[in-house]
Amino acid sequence: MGKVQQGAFGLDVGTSRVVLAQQSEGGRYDYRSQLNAFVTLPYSKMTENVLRKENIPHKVEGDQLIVHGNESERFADLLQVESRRPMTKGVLNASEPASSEMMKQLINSLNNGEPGAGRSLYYSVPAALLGEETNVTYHEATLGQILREMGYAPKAINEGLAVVYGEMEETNYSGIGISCGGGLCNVCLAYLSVPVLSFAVPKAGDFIDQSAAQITGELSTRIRITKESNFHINGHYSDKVQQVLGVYYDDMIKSLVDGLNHTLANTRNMPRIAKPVPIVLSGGTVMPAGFRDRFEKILKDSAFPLAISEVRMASDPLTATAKGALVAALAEA
Amino acid sequence: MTVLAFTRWLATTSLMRWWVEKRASNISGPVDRLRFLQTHQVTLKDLRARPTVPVPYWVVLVSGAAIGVSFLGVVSWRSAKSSPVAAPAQASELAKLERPTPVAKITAPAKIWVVESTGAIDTYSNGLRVEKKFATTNRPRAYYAYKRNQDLEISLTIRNQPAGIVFHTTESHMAEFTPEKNRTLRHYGENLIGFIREKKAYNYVIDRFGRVFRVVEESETAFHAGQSTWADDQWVYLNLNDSFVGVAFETQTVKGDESPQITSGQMVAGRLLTEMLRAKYGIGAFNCPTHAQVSVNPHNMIVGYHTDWAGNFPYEELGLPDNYALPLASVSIFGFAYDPAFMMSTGARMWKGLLAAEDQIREQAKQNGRSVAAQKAALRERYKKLSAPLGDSGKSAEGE
Repeated sequence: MGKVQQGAFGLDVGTSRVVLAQQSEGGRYDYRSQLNAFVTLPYSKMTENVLRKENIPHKVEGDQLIVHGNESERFADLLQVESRRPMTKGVLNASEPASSEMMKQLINSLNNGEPGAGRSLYYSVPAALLGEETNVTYHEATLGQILREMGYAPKAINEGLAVVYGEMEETNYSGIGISCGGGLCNVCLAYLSVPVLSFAVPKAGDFIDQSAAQITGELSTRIRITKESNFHINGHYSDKVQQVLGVYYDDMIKSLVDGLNHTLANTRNMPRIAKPVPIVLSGGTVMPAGFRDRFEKILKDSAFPLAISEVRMASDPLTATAKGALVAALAEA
Repeated sequence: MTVLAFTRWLATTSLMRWWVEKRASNISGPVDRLRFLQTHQVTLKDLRARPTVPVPYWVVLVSGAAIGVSFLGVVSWRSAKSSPVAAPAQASELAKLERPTPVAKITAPAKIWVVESTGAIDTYSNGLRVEKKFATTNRPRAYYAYKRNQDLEISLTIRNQPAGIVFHTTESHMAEFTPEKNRTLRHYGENLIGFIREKKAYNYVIDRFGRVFRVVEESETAFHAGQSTWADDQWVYLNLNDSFVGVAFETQTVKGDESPQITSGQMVAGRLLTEMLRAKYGIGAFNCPTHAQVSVNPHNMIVGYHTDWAGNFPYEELGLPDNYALPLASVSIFGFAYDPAFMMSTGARMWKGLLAAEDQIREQAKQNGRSVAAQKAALRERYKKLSAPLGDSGKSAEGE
């Protein structure tokens, strides 16, 4: 990162990754990200020395060493242990006792251990799951509390709305922002920056990995590696793993489009939107080649009720949410 | 919902949405654009409201046509940057129009003199008759003006001649304007002027029959403008009680795009009185704003604390240019903000002044190498610094 302004932050708190956005002195947006995962190792002086020498973020907790963030995956592989996740399905993992502490560690390492110093920070939160009464109040409040304790002035922003703010300046922040991460797909329709509707569907990256793993008998990890390395959504698949991935991607996209249709049909007092609006796709799960085309085809086949000007990928799908959160924070400053 | 009500509703919401979109499209930078849109969120939320009764298709067509005409007649805008999505035909047509440069000519009115002065009435050479039976005194005018330069230097001379006129509405009870209600009309009018005299609220009041009453002597201060600000091309004025003559029409404020409730007698009298005051004190045409254009609330730094004559003052009929097109000094010089409530009460004519003020701020920000927000913050600080020593000069008739 370049020299940063004494200003605001945008934080994308995802199930898989946490991304911090900040504006540098030249007005450029800079990003740092960490895997939202950690592993615990038995404490030994030698291991701690190695971690320190290699600049690997870690923490000593009693008789354990905790490695979090990007390095956790490598250590999990090395030690043949499962990495632990502070979040699941878009919210803090209730069955992970260390979730709050780990979130704090992760965010701290993203900002190089600098205190919040009262600076404004917008953090992303998911929308309520479609058709379910669950809410995200606990998640939002806990994250807010963590960030306040770290010295920030935090405010929550809907994840889909953050995508709109990050990607739709040209349409005056009118359009549909979609963020497909590990735990959830978040959707928000905004009109002139005002959120009109938002919801989340529980089918996202983890759903695809786990479902495909179940069918093929492969490890989820291998499924994910296949998905991220050489998977194309084009209907022509070279092996069973790819074929199954294609099926579950279709399932996820259909859930998204059905959710949009259902929510649009059931939203009262929709504003009159005269112009066609764009749809922007973001998040790690939309990265495979061909995702945009497949999404557009399923959308067109569904007789979507709203005029759409284009379906496009975010300029950088992995940072769009953090960017939008930062834009919101700067706009408030 | 009546056709008229529907038309008004449609005009307000469509116009507002169009204005917000167009304005936002001209703002470069994602942060400033989002900030602008967010300041208009309440207004946009209002767009969700729809008529609660079915509206016939022909009503929509007629209303749309009416609004199209009013757009072309009243509002003009500068060309907007092209948008990546297709703009509606109406907006693209309007975008072709150029916004006029909001500069009013200074035309000195003809010389006007007192033809006859009796104990009760002054008669002027342009036909103006001023009734004096309610005339009273307050305290002599005394004010400073500030040079319109970078530092707004204070002029060292204490001034006691009015620099302009502020037009008001009395917001008083209104009886039906018919011969049968003559007695009530007179009763309301006289009670009103008695009240104004007691409060020393205006220098002149024009009742519904077009009679002009002098209340507080012209040479003295009336508590008409309260916290307020205005500027011409040379001077900036703060708290206009001392520096501007207060002229009130006996009427009530209506929403900015609706027709003003003003009688033909008031119109004629207003024109004659304006001519006389301008001739007597050499008042420039652009120093004749309405109270809504000058009123501010320093507590929340928002304009339009009072909204009388917010968008429908008959400038042309009074022999004045459309001063609504002038940039609001409160916004362009002192960084005051405006909220959706103000936008909704003003109507399209005042928006031109707001646009002009915003343009000036953007230009200043560019020159100073600051963001628009930083420029506005600096202007607000300037206001606080200049207004702090003014004490109760911003007192209004309500005693605020």
